[in-house]
Amino acid sequence: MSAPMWKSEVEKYIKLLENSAVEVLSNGLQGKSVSLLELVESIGEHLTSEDHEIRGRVIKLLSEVLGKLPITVLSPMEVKTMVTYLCERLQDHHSIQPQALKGILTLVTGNGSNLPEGCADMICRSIFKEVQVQTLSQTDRCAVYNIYSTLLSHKLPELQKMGNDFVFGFIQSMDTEKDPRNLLLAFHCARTIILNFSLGPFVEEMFEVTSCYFPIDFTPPPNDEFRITREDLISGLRGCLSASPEFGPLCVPLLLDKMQSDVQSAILDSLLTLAESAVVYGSKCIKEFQAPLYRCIKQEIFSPRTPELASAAETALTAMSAALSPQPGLSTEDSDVDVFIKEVMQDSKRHFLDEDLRLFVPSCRLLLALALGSDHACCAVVGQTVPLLEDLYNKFTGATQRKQIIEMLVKFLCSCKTFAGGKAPKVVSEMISSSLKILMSSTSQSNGTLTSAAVQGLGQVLTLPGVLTSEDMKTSCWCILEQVLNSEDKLVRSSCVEPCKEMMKVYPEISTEILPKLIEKINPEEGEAILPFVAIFSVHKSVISKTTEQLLSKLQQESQAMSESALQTCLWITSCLVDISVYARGNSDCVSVLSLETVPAVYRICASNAVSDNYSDVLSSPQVLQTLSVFIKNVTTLLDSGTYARLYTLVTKLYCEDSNSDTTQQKSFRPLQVDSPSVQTCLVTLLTPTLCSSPKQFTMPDIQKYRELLTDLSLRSSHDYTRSEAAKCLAGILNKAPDDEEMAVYLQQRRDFYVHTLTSTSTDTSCLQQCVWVTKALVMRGHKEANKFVNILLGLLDSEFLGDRAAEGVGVVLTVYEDVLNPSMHANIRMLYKQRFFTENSSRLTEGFQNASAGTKKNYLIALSHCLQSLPKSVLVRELPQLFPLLVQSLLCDNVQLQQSTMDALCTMITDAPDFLVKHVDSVIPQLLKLTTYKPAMRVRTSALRCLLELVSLPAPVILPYKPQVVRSLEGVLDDKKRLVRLEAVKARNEWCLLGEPGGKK
Amino acid sequence: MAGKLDNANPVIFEQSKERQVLPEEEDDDVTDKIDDREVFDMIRNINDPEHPLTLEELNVVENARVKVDDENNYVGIEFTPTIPHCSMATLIGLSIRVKLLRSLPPRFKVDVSITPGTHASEVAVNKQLADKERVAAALENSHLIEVVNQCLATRK
Amino acid sequence: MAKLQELMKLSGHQDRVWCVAWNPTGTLLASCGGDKIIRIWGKEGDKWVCKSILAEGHQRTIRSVGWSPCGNYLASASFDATTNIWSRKEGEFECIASLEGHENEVKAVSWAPTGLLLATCSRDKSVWIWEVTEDEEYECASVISSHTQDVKYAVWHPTREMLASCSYDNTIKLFKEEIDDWTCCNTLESHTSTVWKISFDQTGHRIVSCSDDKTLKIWQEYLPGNPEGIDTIGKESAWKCVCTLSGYHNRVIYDVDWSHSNGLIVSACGDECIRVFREEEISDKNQPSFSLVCTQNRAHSQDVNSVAWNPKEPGLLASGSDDGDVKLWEVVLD
Repeated sequence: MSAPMWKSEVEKYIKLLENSAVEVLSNGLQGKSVSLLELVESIGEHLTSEDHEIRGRVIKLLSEVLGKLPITVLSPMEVKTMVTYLCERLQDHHSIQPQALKGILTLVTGNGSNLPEGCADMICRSIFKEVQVQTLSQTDRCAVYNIYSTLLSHKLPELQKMGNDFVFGFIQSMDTEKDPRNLLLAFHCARTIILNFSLGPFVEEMFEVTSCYFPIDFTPPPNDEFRITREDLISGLRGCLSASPEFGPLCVPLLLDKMQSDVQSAILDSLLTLAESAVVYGSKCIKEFQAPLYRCIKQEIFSPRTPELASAAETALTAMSAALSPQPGLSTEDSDVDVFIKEVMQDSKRHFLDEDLRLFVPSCRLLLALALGSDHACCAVVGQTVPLLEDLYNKFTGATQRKQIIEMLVKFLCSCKTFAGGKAPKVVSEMISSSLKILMSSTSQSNGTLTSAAVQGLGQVLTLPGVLTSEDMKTSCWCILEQVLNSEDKLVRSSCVEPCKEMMKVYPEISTEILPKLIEKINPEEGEAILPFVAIFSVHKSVISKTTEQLLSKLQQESQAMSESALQTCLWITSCLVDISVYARGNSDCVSVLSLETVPAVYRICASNAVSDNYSDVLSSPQVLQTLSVFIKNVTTLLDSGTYARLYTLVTKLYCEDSNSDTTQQKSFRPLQVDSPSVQTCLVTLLTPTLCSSPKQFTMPDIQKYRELLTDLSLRSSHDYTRSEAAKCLAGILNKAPDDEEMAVYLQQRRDFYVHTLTSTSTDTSCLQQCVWVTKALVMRGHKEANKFVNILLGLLDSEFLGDRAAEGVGVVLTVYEDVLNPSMHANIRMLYKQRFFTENSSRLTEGFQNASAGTKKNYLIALSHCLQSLPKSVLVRELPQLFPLLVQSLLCDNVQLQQSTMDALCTMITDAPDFLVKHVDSVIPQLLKLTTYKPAMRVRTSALRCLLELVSLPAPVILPYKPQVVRSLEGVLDDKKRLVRLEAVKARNEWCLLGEPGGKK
Repeated sequence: MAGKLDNANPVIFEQSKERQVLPEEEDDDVTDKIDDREVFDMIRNINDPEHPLTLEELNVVENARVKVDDENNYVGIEFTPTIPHCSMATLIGLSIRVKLLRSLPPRFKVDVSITPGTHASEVAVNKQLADKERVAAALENSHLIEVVNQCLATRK
Repeated sequence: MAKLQELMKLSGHQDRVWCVAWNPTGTLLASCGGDKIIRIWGKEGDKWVCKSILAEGHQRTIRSVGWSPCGNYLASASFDATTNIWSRKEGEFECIASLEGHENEVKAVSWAPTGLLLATCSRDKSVWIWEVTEDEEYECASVISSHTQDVKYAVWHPTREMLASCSYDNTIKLFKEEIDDWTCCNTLESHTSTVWKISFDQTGHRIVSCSDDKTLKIWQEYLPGNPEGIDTIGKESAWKCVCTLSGYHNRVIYDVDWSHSNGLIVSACGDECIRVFREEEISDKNQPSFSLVCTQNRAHSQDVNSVAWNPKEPGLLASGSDDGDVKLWEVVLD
C-alpha cells in the first residue's frame, strides 16, 4: 500500500468522515506494509493540533487499531513504545485520557504476561499521577479497574515491587466509587492486593475504603441488563474484609455494631462475614471481642427472628471456635477455646435445669456450633455435654422431653464425623456405650414418637467411623430390627427405613440373618409393612438370588389364594421387586442376578400361569402386570448389549415360538396370536419392557415378525387391554427400527390403511389408537414420514365420533410415559421434537378452530392445549400471547379438562409474561369470576380461584380497579358447598382485600 | 428490636399438621359443612403483632376454643392473650375479626372474646370487640389498619 | 295478630346502611352509610326511586342523618368528625355548612323542634349543642361532657327544649339549659350494656331505649309532686324504668322507634329481624305491659341497623341494613 493512501484514510477518520481507517491500518500493520513507526509519526502531526478533539480522535484511532491487531504483530519493543506513548498522552487534556486508557487496556489485555518489563510500573504510576479516576465516567473507571485487575493477574511481581505506592494509588482510585459494576471489579482487585501486598501504613485506609460499603444495601433496578445481584456485591466485599488478619481489630467492632442493628439483612451480613473472617483474624482478636460477640450470637439463637439468621449465628460461632482452637500439635491444656467452652457450658447448664426445657434446644445449638469448630473443641464439648445429657435423660421421664434429649444427644455424638481423622471419634467411642443404652431403652417405653426418634438416632450412630465395637454394632442393629419385625406403629416402622439403609452400608452381613425372619412375615396382615425392608436388605450379592427366588415363590403362592387380599398382597410383593431393582442400580453383581435369574423366572411364572387350567386372575391383572413391567424395565435398562441380547433371545423364544416352556401343560403359549385367550395376550405388557429397552447398538433380528404380530394384535384382538398394550409395544419397536426398505413398505401400508379406514364418519377406535401410537413413535424420532401421519390424526379433529379421541391422541403423542418411549429405555428421541410439533402444527390448529363447527371447536382447543402443556416455559411464554384469544375461548368451553389446563396456562402467563397479560386483564377477570361459580365441577372453580390469586402479583395500577368487583363476587364463593373451593376462595379474597391497603401489598 | 417486648421469651407451641383431605371432600355432589377446624385454619396463621410467630404457635388461639354452628350461622372464638396484661389484646381481637370478615360468608354472626379469666381487662376488651360501630370506625383508621394488615399478611 | 308486609327494596348503596330518616312530611326518605353517600328516596307513581345522591360531602362513613323540622335542611354526621348541613332551598341539595369540633367520629345529629338548635354526639364522650343564627350560620353553644364513654345517640324532646342522649357507658342522660349553660338533669341507669338508641313517645313523658344487653326498656317521667309518690329533686322530674322487654331479641338491638301516630314501637336487631310491639289495652301506667305484635324474620340478610316510622302514614316503616339495602314495610293488622 502506498504511503499516501493510508494517510488519507487517517485524515478521513480524523475528520469524522469514515471509520475505514481502522480496518485499513490494522491490515496494513499485520501485512507489514505499514510500520508502527510510520503510523506514529504521521499521527504525531495531529497531536500538535490545538483542538483537543482532534488529538482525541487520533488517540482513539490508535486504540482501535491496536484493538484489532492480534498479539503477535507488535514486537515487545513496539509494545513498550506504544505503552510509553499512551502513558504520555495521559498528561494531555482530560478528554483524551479515556481514549488513552482504552488503548492501554487493549495492550495490557492483549499481552498478558508478555507485557514487557517496566510497562506495568509505568502504567500504574502514570495513572496514579495523571488521572483523577473518580472524575471519569463509569465506563472509563471500569477500564482503569480492568487495567489494575489484568496487571494484578499477570504482572504481580512487578507491581509488588512498587510496594506501598501501588497500594496507595489503588486506594485513591477506588475511594468514593459508587457504581455496582465497578465495585465488583474493585473488590476483586482489593482482595488480591490485600492478599499479596504488605499494606504497610495503609492498613486503615484500605480497610476504610472497602468497609465503608458495609453492609451492602443494593437493589438492582428493574430490567437490569447487567444482572448484578446484591449477593455478588456482598460476597465481593466479604472477600476483602476477610482477607487480612490486620483487619481484625478494625472490622470486628464494625460487625458487632451492625449485629445490634434493627435491619435483618445487616445482621445476617455481619454474622456471615464474621464466619468467614474469624479464622483469618486469629485467636487474639476474637478473644478480645469474645464476650460481646457471644452475647449477640446467643440472642440470635435464643430468640430467633428467622431460621436464616439463627443458622448464620451458628456458623459464626463455629468460626469463632475454630479461631480460638489451638494449632494441631501445640499444647492443648486450657487453650482459649477451652476457656470459651467453659463459659458457654456454665451458661447452658442453667438452661438444662429448667423445668420445662424451654431453652434446652437453643443451648444445645450453641454448644454444637462450638463443637464443630475444631477437633479439639469437639472433644471438649462432646466430652462435657454427653454425660450431662445422659443425666438429663434420667431426670426427665416424659416422652416428649426424652425425645428432645436423645435427638440432641445423637447430634452431639455425630458431630465427631466432621473430624473423622482426629481425636473426636475416639472420645465418642469412649462414651458410646451409655448413650447406646439410653437409645435402646427409649425404644421400649411404648411411645411411638420416642421410639422413632431413638431408632433414627441409632441409625445415625451406626455410621460413625470406628466408634462402635462390633458387639455394639450388632446390638444396635438388632434393636432397630426388633422394631421392624414387631412394632405395630406405622410411624415407628417407617422411621426404620433410613436406619436400615445405613445398616446395609456398614454391616451388610446382617442381611443373611434378618431376611429369613422378614420373609416369614410376608402375609396379608403384615406384608405391607415388611416388604419395603425385604427390598433394602436383599440388595447384596450373598442374598439377592435366594431372596428373589423366595419372593417369587410367595408371589405364586399368594396369587393362588382365593381371598380378597390376594391382589393386594401380590401388589406388595411386586412392589418389593421394584424397590429391589431400584436399589440394585450401581451394584453389578445384583443386576446380574436379576437379569439372569429373576427376570426370566418372572416370565416363566406368568407364562405357566397363563396356560394352566386354574390360572390366577391376580397374575394377569393389569395392576400386577404393570408393576412387574416396571421391575423388568428397571433391570433391562441397565444391561450391556451382551446381557441384553441373551435376555432378548430368551423372551423371543418364549413369546414367538410356537412351543411352551412347561411341557406338562396341554395348552401352548402363544401370547401374540389374535385368537389366543386374553389371559395370554395380556402378557404383551411384559414384552414391552424387554423389547423396547434395547440399547442403541442392538439390531433386532426378529423385528419384521414382531411388527406384523403386534400390528395385528393391536387391531384385531377382542381384549381392550391387550390392544392398547400391543399398540404401545409396537410403537416402542417402530421408534428404533432401522429406516430400511422394509420399514418404508410397512409405513406406506399403514398410511394407506389409516387413510382408508379413518374417514370422517369412522368409529374405529382401535385403528385410531394404533395410528396415535405409530404417529408418536415417528414424531419422537423425527422420521421423515411423521408429518403424514400427523396430518391424518389432525384431520380427524373435525370428525363427529373420533374427534375428541383424536384430540386426546395429540396429548398421547406429546406426553412422556414411564412404560415405553422414554430416554431411560434408550428411545430414539430427536431434540426438541415437542417444540417442532408445535411450530409445525399450531397454525393449522388455530385455523382449524376458526373454521370448525360448534361441536368440534373444542377438539382443536384440546389439541392445542396439549401442545402448550408440553412446551418448556420459555417457549410457552413466547407463544401464549398469540394464542391468547383461543385461551379465552377455552375458558368458555364446557370441558373441565380444557378449562383447567387453560387456567394453568394462564397462571404461567401471570408469573412469566405479566406484561402481556396486563393488557388483557379485562377479558380474563370477568370470565374467571364466572368460572368460580361453575356448578358441575369443583376443579374448575378451584382452578379459577387459583388464577385469580395469581393475578394479585400484577402491577397494582392494573388490577386495583377490579378490586371492588372481585371482592364482592368472591364473597359468594366463600359459601361454596365444597370445603376445598372455600379454602381457595379465602386465600384469593384475602389477598385481593389487601390490595392497595396500608400494610398490604406494595 | 426496638423497645421492650411484653413477653420476651414466649413458650412456643407446635403447629398442628395440615388437615387431611377426605374422599367426600373431593366428591362434587357432597356438601361439606363449615366446621370448627375450618374456621380455626382461617385464624391460626395470623401473626402476633410483637413476635415473629403465629397466634397458634403462641397458643393464643386453639382449635378447641373455636365454636362453629353452620346451620345456625354462628361462630364464637375465644382467644387467650399470652400474659394477663398483654397490651395487644384488642389488636389481636381486631385482627381476628378482620380476618373473619374477609373469609367467612356474611350470613355468620361472629363473637370474638377473651378466654374468661386470662386477662386483666377482659370485660372492657370484649365490649370493644363486640361493638360493631367501634370496630368499623377503627378500621377506617389507616394506621391501625396497616398494623392489622401486617398481622394478616402471609409469611412466606 | 299482624304482619309486616315488604313493600319495596331500595338498592343502590355500595356498603352497609347505617341510618334511614323520613322528612317531616313523610314524602322523602334519606339513607346513609359506609359508602359515604346519602341517598334521598321519593315516591314516583307507585314506586319509590332514588331522587338525589349527595356525594363528596364526607371523607368517611356517614353514620346518621336528620331532617330539620321545616324539612328544608338535612344534617349528616360522619366518622370523619364533621357534621354537614345540606340545604335544598334552591332546589337541589347543597352543602352549606360543615361543623367541626368533635375530636373523633360523630355518631348522631338531631334538630330541636324549633329548628334553631342542633345537637351532635361523638365517641369523644361529648354532646355539642349548636345554634342556628339568622344568616344560616351554625355556632357552637355548648359542649357537654357528662358521659364517661362514647355517646351513641342524641335526640331532642318532641316539644320541650330538652335533650336526651345514650351511651357506651350504659346510661341515658337528659340535659336542659340552666341559667347560662346546659347541664345534665337526669341520668337513667338500668341497662347492663351499651345503650344504642332512644325514642320519645308522642307525649314526651316516656322514652323507649334499646341496648346491647338485648332488651328494650320503657322509662316513665314523674313530675314533681306526682301522685305515685316518686321522689323528685327540686323542680326536676324523675324518670324510672317501668318495663323491660327481654327474651324477644337474640342479639344486639341497634335501633328503636316509637310511632307518634299509633304508639307502636319498632326495633331493629342484629339477628336480622324487625319486631313491632304495642302497649296492651289494659295497662298500668306505672307497670305497663307491652306485647310483641309481629316479628319479621330475615327482614334483611344481615344485621338491621335502623328503623323509622313514617311520620304521616301510620304503619309505614323504613329499615336499613348491613346488607346495603333499604326496605319499606307496611304493618298489616289482621
